[in-house]
Amino acid sequence: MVTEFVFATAQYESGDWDSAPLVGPNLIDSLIRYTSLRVSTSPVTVPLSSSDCLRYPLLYMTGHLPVRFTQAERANLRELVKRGGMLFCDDHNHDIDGVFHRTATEELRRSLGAPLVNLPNNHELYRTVFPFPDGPPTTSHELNGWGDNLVHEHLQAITVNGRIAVLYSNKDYSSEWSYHPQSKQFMSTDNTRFGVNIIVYALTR
Amino acid sequence: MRSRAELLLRLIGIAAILAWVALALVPRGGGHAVGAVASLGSDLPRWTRDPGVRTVHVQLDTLPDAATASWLAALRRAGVAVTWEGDVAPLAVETWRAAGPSGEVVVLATAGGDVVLRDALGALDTLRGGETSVRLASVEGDIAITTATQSARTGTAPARASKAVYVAGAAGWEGKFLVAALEEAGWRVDARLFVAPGKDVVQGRTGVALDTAGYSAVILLDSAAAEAVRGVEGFVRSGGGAVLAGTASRGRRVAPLVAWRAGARVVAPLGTMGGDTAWRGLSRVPLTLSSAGGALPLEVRGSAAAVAARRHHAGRVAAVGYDETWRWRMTGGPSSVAEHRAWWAGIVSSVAARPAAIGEETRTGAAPVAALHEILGPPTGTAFSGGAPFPRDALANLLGLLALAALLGEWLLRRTRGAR
Repeated sequence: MVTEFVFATAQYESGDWDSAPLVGPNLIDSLIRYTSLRVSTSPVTVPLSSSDCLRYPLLYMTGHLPVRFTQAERANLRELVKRGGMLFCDDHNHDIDGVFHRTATEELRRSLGAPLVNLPNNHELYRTVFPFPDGPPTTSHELNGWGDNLVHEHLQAITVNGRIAVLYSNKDYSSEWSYHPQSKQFMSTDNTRFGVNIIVYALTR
Repeated sequence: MRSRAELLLRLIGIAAILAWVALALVPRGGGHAVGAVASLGSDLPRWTRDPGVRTVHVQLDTLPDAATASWLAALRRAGVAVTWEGDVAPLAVETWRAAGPSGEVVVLATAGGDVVLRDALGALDTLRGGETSVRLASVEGDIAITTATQSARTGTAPARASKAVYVAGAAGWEGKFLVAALEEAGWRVDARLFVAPGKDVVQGRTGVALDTAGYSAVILLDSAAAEAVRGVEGFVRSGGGAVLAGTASRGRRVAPLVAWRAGARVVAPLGTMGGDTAWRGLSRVPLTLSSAGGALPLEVRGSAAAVAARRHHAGRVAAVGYDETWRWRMTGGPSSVAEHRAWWAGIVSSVAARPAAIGEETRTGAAPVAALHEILGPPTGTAFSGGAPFPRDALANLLGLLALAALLGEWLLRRTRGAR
């Protein structure tokens, strides 16, 4: 029997970690729709300051406000990455000059000792389940010119031994995916499919 | 005129001389010789040159060196009945290369007491009593174990490039961290992880036949993998290794490999720590071993095995009941990543295909007591089965002494009574 995948959102002491509460249920719905993975239907929130976060090898993190990790949060993040886990961090502001971006990227660099670098658009992340030959899919917020009025061509990452340990997005998937799963019936193409790729990548690499 | 006593002495003297002459004229035949290890250096050439030596008995308080043992064996082959006795403790050393990228040398030593382990560069360790094994990252030259009175020596097989490991199973944390652990241990891993019907995540080579030319071992993570992967039985039959993890032992395709029954999954009691090695995670599938099939329990938890292994024709199969070892790695103590990696690498290495080395020879020095048994037979415990040896030289000396004493006595008696 395979352990159920549990979608876990990282709770950190600074900022609004809970700004996209529907991303978890929506991605769980997509995993059940498109894969045969064993998935828990109940997402969880886990404090990054607690070693309990190591029970969830994939952590999702988002927010709009400045990020400043505590010592315990930094230590646990380092431990998660060292043991082979992965953090998916999404800028809910969709703004490269926003406070979340500036503080979160600096905090990640300080915690892990390595800077984020652009992830090539032919990375295997973009073909794990669904193919994205042009790289990360755009979001409606990018196309509408909100935030920094940019379409970000790349995601960023910190890799360890060729494996993505931290995946960082400025594309605001948190807004894009934070809706009730039932609303997918009104879409011509499910925009959470890239989320499925991220989770399956984390489960297999 | 001689007195009666003088006459008697004269007759004794003459008889002793005649007997001495007769003894000298009789050819030597059916001769026996007895030697000890310390004197074999001088005894062996003499015994070899003397055609009268028909039986040799050696008393051993320590083992003869290889040249001496070979000489005794040559005497035996030349028709001399060579027997031996002695209370020498069995001593043996065996080495082999662990299959896998580490190329470790596994040394298995058997001795009555403590032994010193050495290689060409010097002493490596002291092994305490009985049977013991050690794993060495590298060695130089031969491996030897020595006690106060004897030693055993053997060579080591050259290191070889390891082949890949094939992993198959449902996508999940167990597969991900197993692959990671094996890669960290140096294995090249090809993986096929099932995501959805008709959709697998593949790592490494695809469409490659499962044979020992390309793979050392295959790991099936669950019963779905055991059903999906073809050719596992033939792979093991030809010398490959298989690890059946979790519920994989239930797969019909691997039924010929299995000599145990995978029971219902058991979940660890509330409060069990992630690093608890009694669970290696938080759940396991108990394995009930069949009476037939030659399966050995390698880890027993409660009344059932958690890890078991058996041979299947030229290959080996291991069953691993733990199905959430990723929790051990992620939530265990500071060393849990290394422990998880070493444990899985050890399991895979224990079953991985290990081709016979070309040019390897069995060396008699690896088990000198056994070799002595082989070339000289078992110890007899007595000097000769045909009775006590004939003391030819001593008898000749005795006869000479008797003749001299008798003739001297006769002469003294005659002088005391004034006769010439």
